[in-house]
Amino acid sequence: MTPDEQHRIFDRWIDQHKGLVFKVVHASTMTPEDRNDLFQDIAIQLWKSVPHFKGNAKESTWVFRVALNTAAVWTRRESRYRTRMESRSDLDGVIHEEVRGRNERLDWLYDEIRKLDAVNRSLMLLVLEGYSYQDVAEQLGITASNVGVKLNRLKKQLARIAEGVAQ
Amino acid sequence: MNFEDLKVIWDSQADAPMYAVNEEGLHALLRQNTAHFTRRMRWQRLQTYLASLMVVGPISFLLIAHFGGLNPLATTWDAVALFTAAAAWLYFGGRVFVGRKRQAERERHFTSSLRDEIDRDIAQVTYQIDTRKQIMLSFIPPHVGSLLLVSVAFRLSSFAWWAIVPVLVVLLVNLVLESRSQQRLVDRELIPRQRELESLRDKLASG
Repeated sequence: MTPDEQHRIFDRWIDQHKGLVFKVVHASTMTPEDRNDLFQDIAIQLWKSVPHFKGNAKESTWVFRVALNTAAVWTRRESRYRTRMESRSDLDGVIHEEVRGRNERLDWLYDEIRKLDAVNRSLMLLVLEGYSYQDVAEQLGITASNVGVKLNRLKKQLARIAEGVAQ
Repeated sequence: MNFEDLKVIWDSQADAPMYAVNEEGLHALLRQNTAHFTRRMRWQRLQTYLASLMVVGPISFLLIAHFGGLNPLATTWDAVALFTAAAAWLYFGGRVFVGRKRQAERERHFTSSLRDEIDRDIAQVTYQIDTRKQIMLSFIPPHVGSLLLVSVAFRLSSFAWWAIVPVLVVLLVNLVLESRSQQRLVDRELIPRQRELESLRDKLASG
């Protein structure tokens, strides 16, 4: 694969699937600085993943998987270290927050997802995006029955929280 | 509120982009990342070749000259010392070279699931911990090599035998300091990261 081809595919992925990446970034970080760091790390992983994409999965599934995996093992400390090492400080601001109307219910949902550990967060995001148990199992590398058990527990946990908020 | 309600909330964001991408910045990031990687690999290769050339080159020259009858070395022991120094440096260089190749191979490998990703990260951290824990052992050969080289140079320059003592002290202090600094890094950063990843893997595997 030529660098030009890699660039072209990467640009298309970012253009068409940035919404998915934003959801992962927004659900995994608290501050604008962290969001920028994580987005940069995901972008680099996506770039590296282009030659490995063989078309067996949908592009959106691939992009979502790379974003989720990167976010799950991402740590602020590590990112800061890499930033220092690679002098990326001049690249701060690769993403900018858009001004949009407040959606309190959505903000609440994101807050709750952020409180989950990395495994449950990935699981929740996959299910909310409409992936089947089998797809989720494949993405996480666990069995479909394990996905079912985890998801039931998670749904109950979120329902309890939602009831608490409603009361 | 049930899960379907959560899904309705989630889907309400479909048409509202949260962020805007600075495309120029993104391309600059990729260029910088690629350039950094290429630079790093080039610099590491250069370091390995230069160090080998600077140490092994003169030693080989002296040994060839010695056994070729020019006798620049005072005794056969000098030749043995230089030969041992060259072997120690070559051994060290070889280890560094193989280690870096393996590291580059691991970085190239691409994972398919979260479990693979976590396993790969754990393997990387464990490798770093093992390497840094054994830093004292792996640094002994080049230190011994350097000491032998300096001792032969001092003998050939007719320095007093005790002139080697400060060199020995500096090398020992360097070895201890380096080892302690690596151990601190292992204790403060690498072991907590390893535990964090292992706990993530356990969570993923648990029913």
